[in-house]
Amino acid sequence: MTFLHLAALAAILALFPVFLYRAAKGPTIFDRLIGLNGIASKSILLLVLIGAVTGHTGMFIDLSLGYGLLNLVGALAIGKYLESKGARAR
Amino acid sequence: MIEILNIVLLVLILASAVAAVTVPDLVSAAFVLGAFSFFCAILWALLGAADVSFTEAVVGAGVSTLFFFLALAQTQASAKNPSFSYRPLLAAFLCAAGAGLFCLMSAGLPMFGDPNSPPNSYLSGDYLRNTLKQTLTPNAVTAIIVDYRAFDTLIETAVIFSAAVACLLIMRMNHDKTA
Repeated sequence: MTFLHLAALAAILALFPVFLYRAAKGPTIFDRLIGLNGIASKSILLLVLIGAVTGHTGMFIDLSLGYGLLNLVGALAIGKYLESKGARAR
Repeated sequence: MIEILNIVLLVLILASAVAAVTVPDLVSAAFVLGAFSFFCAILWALLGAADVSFTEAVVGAGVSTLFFFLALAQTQASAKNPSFSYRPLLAAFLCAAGAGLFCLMSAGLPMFGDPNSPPNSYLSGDYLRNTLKQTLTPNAVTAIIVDYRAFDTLIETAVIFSAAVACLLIMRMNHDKTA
């Protein structure tokens, strides 16, 4: 575990509450969507970093690839819902 | 280091759970619940449970968030408490009763790591001894799911896939009728 690992882990962990605040508080629905999306992409980064730190790179990279696919499909599905709903700004 | 990471993730899980209950409208509650599931999934991955983590990410963060949105599209998107005043008391009573039932039942469970408990005394030892030799997979749970029980998993996947196709067909039929 190098200083780079530690600094990257700390930065990513510090970003989670920011996105969570935006997802919970965000005035419009798009803020919430972007907050959730940010949490999803940061969790991909966190998993890859944990893999690099612990040495189990194979398992964590597989997991993060799956999360990446899921993230895309989930965001598309929510966007589809918002499109059909007319996306009232609230 | 990993312990600190676990604690941070647990705090985030707790914060998102509290936020999901306290946010005013149900759309944001669905979003925050998705975040909750992502934190849970990272925690499972940290604990080495790859399959649980994957299921949590797919079902918890993906599918159930989508189902919440589909349900919210059919109903109204803000919670309205009916006007009976005993409702919080009833909820508190039910929560306490459920927690009490769990505590009562958990007294009958075997201790964690007990070598003589039924789950630890039949097949587990064989799996743990032979998995790496026979399947070359470091994660024993993954090896059991996709190697020893490969046909079981394959047919489960086929069942879930056909259920999803059937759901999509039914929704498509309703859509055509209204359009």
